[in-house]
Amino acid sequence: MSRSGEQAMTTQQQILDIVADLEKRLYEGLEESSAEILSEVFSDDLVYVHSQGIAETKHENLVGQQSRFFWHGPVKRVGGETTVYGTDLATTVGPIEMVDYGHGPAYTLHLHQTLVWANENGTWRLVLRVATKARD
Amino acid sequence: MSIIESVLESEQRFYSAQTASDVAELAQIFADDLYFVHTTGATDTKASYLEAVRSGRYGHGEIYKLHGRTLVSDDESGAVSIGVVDMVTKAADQPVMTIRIHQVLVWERAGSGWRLKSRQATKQPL
Repeated sequence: MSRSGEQAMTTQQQILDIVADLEKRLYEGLEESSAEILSEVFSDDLVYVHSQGIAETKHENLVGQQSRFFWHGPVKRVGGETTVYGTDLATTVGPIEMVDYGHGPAYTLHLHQTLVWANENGTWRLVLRVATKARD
Repeated sequence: MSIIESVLESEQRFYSAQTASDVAELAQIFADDLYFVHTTGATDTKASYLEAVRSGRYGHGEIYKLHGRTLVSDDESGAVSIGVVDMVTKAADQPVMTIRIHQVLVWERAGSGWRLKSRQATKQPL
Protein backbone atom coordinates (compact mmCIF):
# COMPACT_ATOMS: atom_id res chain seq x y z
CA MET A 1 0.00 0.00 0.00
CA SER A 2 1.23 3.47 -0.84
CA ARG A 3 1.93 5.98 1.89
CA SER A 4 -0.91 8.17 0.67
CA GLY A 5 -3.18 5.11 0.84
CA GLU A 6 -2.21 4.51 4.45
CA GLN A 7 -2.87 8.15 5.28
CA ALA A 8 -6.26 8.03 3.61
CA MET A 9 -7.25 4.97 5.65
CA THR A 10 -6.04 6.58 8.86
CA THR A 11 -8.00 9.71 8.11
CA GLN A 12 -11.17 7.76 7.46
CA GLN A 13 -10.75 5.80 10.70
CA GLN A 14 -10.16 9.02 12.59
CA ILE A 15 -13.36 10.45 11.17
CA LEU A 16 -15.26 7.28 12.07
CA ASP A 17 -13.98 7.63 15.63
CA ILE A 18 -14.97 11.30 15.80
CA VAL A 19 -18.45 10.60 14.46
CA ALA A 20 -18.90 7.61 16.80
CA ASP A 21 -18.04 9.86 19.73
CA LEU A 22 -20.43 12.55 18.49
CA GLU A 23 -23.22 10.02 18.06
CA LYS A 24 -22.63 8.89 21.65
CA ARG A 25 -22.73 12.52 22.80
CA LEU A 26 -25.96 13.06 20.85
CA TYR A 27 -27.65 10.21 22.68
CA GLU A 28 -26.25 11.40 26.03
CA GLY A 29 -27.51 14.89 25.30
CA LEU A 30 -30.97 13.62 24.41
CA GLU A 31 -31.16 11.41 27.49
CA GLU A 32 -30.01 14.21 29.78
CA SER A 33 -31.99 16.92 27.92
CA SER A 34 -28.67 18.76 27.98
CA ALA A 35 -28.68 21.94 25.92
CA GLU A 36 -24.96 22.27 26.66
CA ILE A 37 -24.08 18.92 25.09
CA LEU A 38 -26.55 19.19 22.23
CA SER A 39 -25.55 22.73 21.29
CA GLU A 40 -22.02 21.42 20.76
CA VAL A 41 -23.19 18.47 18.69
CA PHE A 42 -25.70 20.41 16.57
CA SER A 43 -24.78 22.55 13.58
CA ASP A 44 -26.29 26.02 13.55
CA ASP A 45 -28.02 24.86 10.35
CA LEU A 46 -29.45 21.71 11.92
CA VAL A 47 -32.71 20.25 10.68
CA TYR A 48 -34.10 17.80 13.27
CA VAL A 49 -37.06 15.74 12.07
CA HIS A 50 -38.98 13.84 14.74
CA SER A 51 -40.75 10.60 13.94
CA GLN A 52 -44.06 12.50 14.16
CA GLY A 53 -42.90 14.55 11.17
CA ILE A 54 -42.22 17.74 13.11
CA ALA A 55 -39.09 19.50 11.83
CA GLU A 56 -37.08 21.77 14.12
CA THR A 57 -34.14 24.13 13.92
CA LYS A 58 -31.31 23.89 16.43
CA HIS A 59 -32.89 26.61 18.57
CA GLU A 60 -36.33 25.02 18.50
CA ASN A 61 -34.95 21.63 19.48
CA LEU A 62 -32.91 23.01 22.36
CA VAL A 63 -35.96 24.87 23.70
CA GLY A 64 -37.98 21.66 23.40
CA GLN A 65 -35.34 19.67 25.25
CA GLN A 66 -35.18 22.18 28.09
CA SER A 67 -38.96 22.28 28.48
CA ARG A 68 -38.98 18.46 28.29
CA PHE A 69 -41.62 18.57 25.59
CA PHE A 70 -39.36 15.92 24.14
CA TRP A 71 -38.10 13.89 27.10
CA HIS A 72 -36.03 10.84 26.35
CA GLY A 73 -34.57 7.98 28.31
CA PRO A 74 -31.75 5.84 26.96
CA VAL A 75 -31.15 5.92 23.21
CA LYS A 76 -29.11 3.29 21.40
CA ARG A 77 -28.48 2.32 17.82
CA VAL A 78 -29.18 -1.36 17.22
CA GLY A 79 -27.90 -1.76 13.66
CA GLY A 80 -26.72 0.08 10.60
CA GLU A 81 -23.45 1.82 10.01
CA THR A 82 -21.58 5.07 9.55
CA THR A 83 -20.16 5.86 6.12
CA VAL A 84 -17.54 8.55 5.54
CA TYR A 85 -17.32 10.54 2.30
CA GLY A 86 -14.14 12.51 1.71
CA THR A 87 -13.01 14.45 4.76
CA ASP A 88 -16.10 16.52 5.44
CA LEU A 89 -19.28 14.42 5.12
CA ALA A 90 -20.55 11.30 6.87
CA THR A 91 -23.87 9.53 7.32
CA THR A 92 -25.11 7.19 10.04
CA VAL A 93 -28.06 5.10 8.90
CA GLY A 94 -29.81 2.44 10.92
CA PRO A 95 -32.43 1.47 13.49
CA ILE A 96 -32.45 2.88 17.00
CA GLU A 97 -34.35 2.28 20.21
CA MET A 98 -35.37 5.35 22.17
CA VAL A 99 -37.20 5.46 25.47
CA ASP A 100 -39.81 8.22 25.56
CA TYR A 101 -40.85 9.81 28.86
CA GLY A 102 -42.58 12.86 27.42
CA HIS A 103 -45.94 11.45 26.43
CA GLY A 104 -47.39 9.44 29.29
CA PRO A 105 -45.93 6.21 30.66
CA ALA A 106 -42.39 5.43 29.48
CA TYR A 107 -42.23 3.31 26.37
CA THR A 108 -39.60 2.29 23.85
CA LEU A 109 -39.80 3.72 20.37
CA HIS A 110 -38.36 1.65 17.54
CA LEU A 111 -37.16 4.07 14.87
CA HIS A 112 -35.28 4.18 11.61
CA GLN A 113 -32.81 7.03 11.71
CA THR A 114 -30.53 8.89 9.31
CA LEU A 115 -27.91 11.22 10.75
CA VAL A 116 -25.86 13.48 8.48
CA TRP A 117 -22.58 14.84 9.82
CA ALA A 118 -20.49 17.61 8.28
CA ASN A 119 -17.07 19.01 9.04
CA GLU A 120 -17.71 22.73 9.48
CA ASN A 121 -14.44 24.64 9.50
CA GLY A 122 -12.63 21.84 11.29
CA THR A 123 -15.39 20.83 13.69
CA TRP A 124 -17.77 17.94 13.04
CA ARG A 125 -21.45 18.68 13.68
CA LEU A 126 -24.84 17.08 13.13
CA VAL A 127 -26.58 18.85 10.25
CA LEU A 128 -29.58 16.54 9.82
CA ARG A 129 -31.48 13.98 11.82
CA VAL A 130 -34.52 12.22 10.35
CA ALA A 131 -36.47 9.59 12.28
CA THR A 132 -39.27 7.36 11.04
CA LYS A 133 -41.27 5.10 13.31
CA ALA A 134 -40.56 1.47 12.43
CA ARG A 135 -43.44 -0.72 11.43
CA ASP A 136 -44.71 -2.81 14.36
CA MET B 1 -22.80 21.21 -15.02
CA SER B 2 -21.73 21.73 -11.40
CA ILE B 3 -21.40 18.83 -9.01
CA ILE B 4 -24.52 19.99 -7.13
CA GLU B 5 -26.44 20.13 -10.39
CA SER B 6 -25.38 16.55 -11.18
CA VAL B 7 -26.83 15.36 -7.85
CA LEU B 8 -30.06 17.27 -8.46
CA GLU B 9 -30.25 15.75 -11.93
CA SER B 10 -29.97 12.26 -10.42
CA GLU B 11 -32.65 13.17 -7.90
CA GLN B 12 -35.01 14.29 -10.68
CA ARG B 13 -34.22 11.13 -12.61
CA PHE B 14 -35.21 9.13 -9.52
CA TYR B 15 -38.56 10.96 -9.22
CA SER B 16 -39.29 10.50 -12.92
CA ALA B 17 -38.52 6.78 -12.70
CA GLN B 18 -40.78 6.43 -9.66
CA THR B 19 -43.61 8.25 -11.44
CA ALA B 20 -43.17 6.09 -14.54
CA SER B 21 -42.74 2.87 -12.50
CA ASP B 22 -39.68 2.34 -14.67
CA VAL B 23 -38.05 -0.70 -13.09
CA ALA B 24 -35.05 -0.73 -15.44
CA GLU B 25 -34.29 2.91 -14.73
CA LEU B 26 -34.72 2.47 -10.97
CA ALA B 27 -32.35 -0.50 -11.10
CA GLN B 28 -29.75 1.79 -12.67
CA ILE B 29 -30.30 4.49 -10.06
CA PHE B 30 -30.22 2.26 -6.96
CA ALA B 31 -27.01 1.02 -5.36
CA ASP B 32 -26.96 -2.74 -4.84
CA ASP B 33 -27.04 -2.23 -1.06
CA LEU B 34 -29.92 0.25 -1.13
CA TYR B 35 -31.71 0.85 2.20
CA PHE B 36 -35.14 2.33 1.53
CA VAL B 37 -37.34 3.49 4.42
CA HIS B 38 -40.96 4.39 3.63
CA THR B 39 -43.07 6.82 5.65
CA THR B 40 -44.95 3.79 6.99
CA GLY B 41 -41.75 2.49 8.56
CA ALA B 42 -41.57 -0.37 6.11
CA THR B 43 -38.15 -0.98 4.61
CA ASP B 44 -36.99 -2.31 1.27
CA THR B 45 -33.85 -3.62 -0.32
CA LYS B 46 -33.16 -2.91 -3.97
CA ALA B 47 -34.63 -6.28 -4.97
CA SER B 48 -37.78 -5.99 -2.86
CA TYR B 49 -38.46 -2.41 -3.98
CA LEU B 50 -38.07 -3.25 -7.66
CA GLU B 51 -40.32 -6.29 -7.28
CA ALA B 52 -42.99 -4.14 -5.59
CA VAL B 53 -42.88 -1.64 -8.47
CA ARG B 54 -42.94 -4.45 -11.03
CA SER B 55 -46.00 -6.04 -9.39
CA GLY B 56 -47.86 -2.73 -9.05
CA ARG B 57 -47.84 -2.71 -5.25
CA TYR B 58 -45.91 0.58 -5.37
CA GLY B 59 -46.89 3.37 -7.70
CA HIS B 60 -46.49 7.13 -7.77
CA GLY B 61 -47.95 10.11 -9.50
CA GLU B 62 -46.18 13.43 -9.59
CA ILE B 63 -43.30 13.98 -7.18
CA TYR B 64 -42.31 17.57 -6.52
CA LYS B 65 -39.57 18.89 -4.25
CA LEU B 66 -40.67 22.09 -2.52
CA HIS B 67 -37.35 23.05 -0.99
CA GLY B 68 -34.16 21.58 0.41
CA ARG B 69 -30.43 21.57 0.14
CA THR B 70 -27.67 19.34 -1.15
CA LEU B 71 -24.30 18.58 0.44
CA VAL B 72 -21.40 17.05 -1.50
CA SER B 73 -18.21 15.74 0.10
CA ASP B 74 -14.95 17.47 -0.71
CA ASP B 75 -13.74 14.51 -2.78
CA GLU B 76 -17.14 14.25 -4.51
CA SER B 77 -17.52 10.59 -3.48
CA GLY B 78 -20.79 11.13 -1.64
CA ALA B 79 -23.72 13.51 -1.47
CA VAL B 80 -26.83 14.06 0.59
CA SER B 81 -30.08 15.65 -0.56
CA ILE B 82 -32.41 16.91 2.14
CA GLY B 83 -35.82 18.30 1.43
CA VAL B 84 -39.55 18.56 1.71
CA VAL B 85 -41.35 16.72 -1.07
CA ASP B 86 -44.96 16.43 -2.22
CA MET B 87 -45.67 12.96 -3.54
CA VAL B 88 -48.77 11.43 -5.07
CA THR B 89 -48.98 7.79 -3.98
CA LYS B 90 -50.79 5.15 -5.99
CA ALA B 91 -50.22 2.00 -4.01
CA ALA B 92 -52.30 -1.02 -5.00
CA ASP B 93 -55.63 -1.28 -3.15
CA GLN B 94 -55.13 2.16 -1.62
CA PRO B 95 -56.78 5.46 -2.53
CA VAL B 96 -54.64 7.89 -4.52
CA MET B 97 -53.42 10.61 -2.20
CA THR B 98 -50.85 13.35 -1.92
CA ILE B 99 -48.50 13.27 1.04
CA ARG B 100 -45.91 15.82 2.14
CA ILE B 101 -42.71 14.26 3.41
CA HIS B 102 -39.33 15.09 4.83
CA GLN B 103 -36.85 13.11 2.81
CA VAL B 104 -33.14 12.40 2.92
CA LEU B 105 -31.36 10.80 -0.01
CA VAL B 106 -27.78 9.54 0.33
CA TRP B 107 -25.87 9.24 -2.94
CA GLU B 108 -22.60 7.49 -3.75
CA ARG B 109 -20.45 8.34 -6.72
CA ALA B 110 -20.52 5.73 -9.50
CA GLY B 111 -18.36 6.67 -12.46
CA SER B 112 -19.62 9.97 -13.78
CA GLY B 113 -23.00 9.59 -12.08
CA TRP B 114 -24.55 8.81 -8.72
CA ARG B 115 -26.21 5.77 -7.14
CA LEU B 116 -28.84 6.02 -4.41
CA LYS B 117 -27.51 4.28 -1.30
CA SER B 118 -30.30 5.13 1.11
CA ARG B 119 -33.61 6.94 1.21
CA GLN B 120 -35.63 7.73 4.30
CA ALA B 121 -38.90 9.63 4.51
CA THR B 122 -41.16 10.82 7.30
CA LYS B 123 -44.66 12.12 6.70
CA GLN B 124 -45.35 15.68 7.79
CA PRO B 125 -48.29 16.06 10.16
CA LEU B 126 -51.48 17.51 8.64
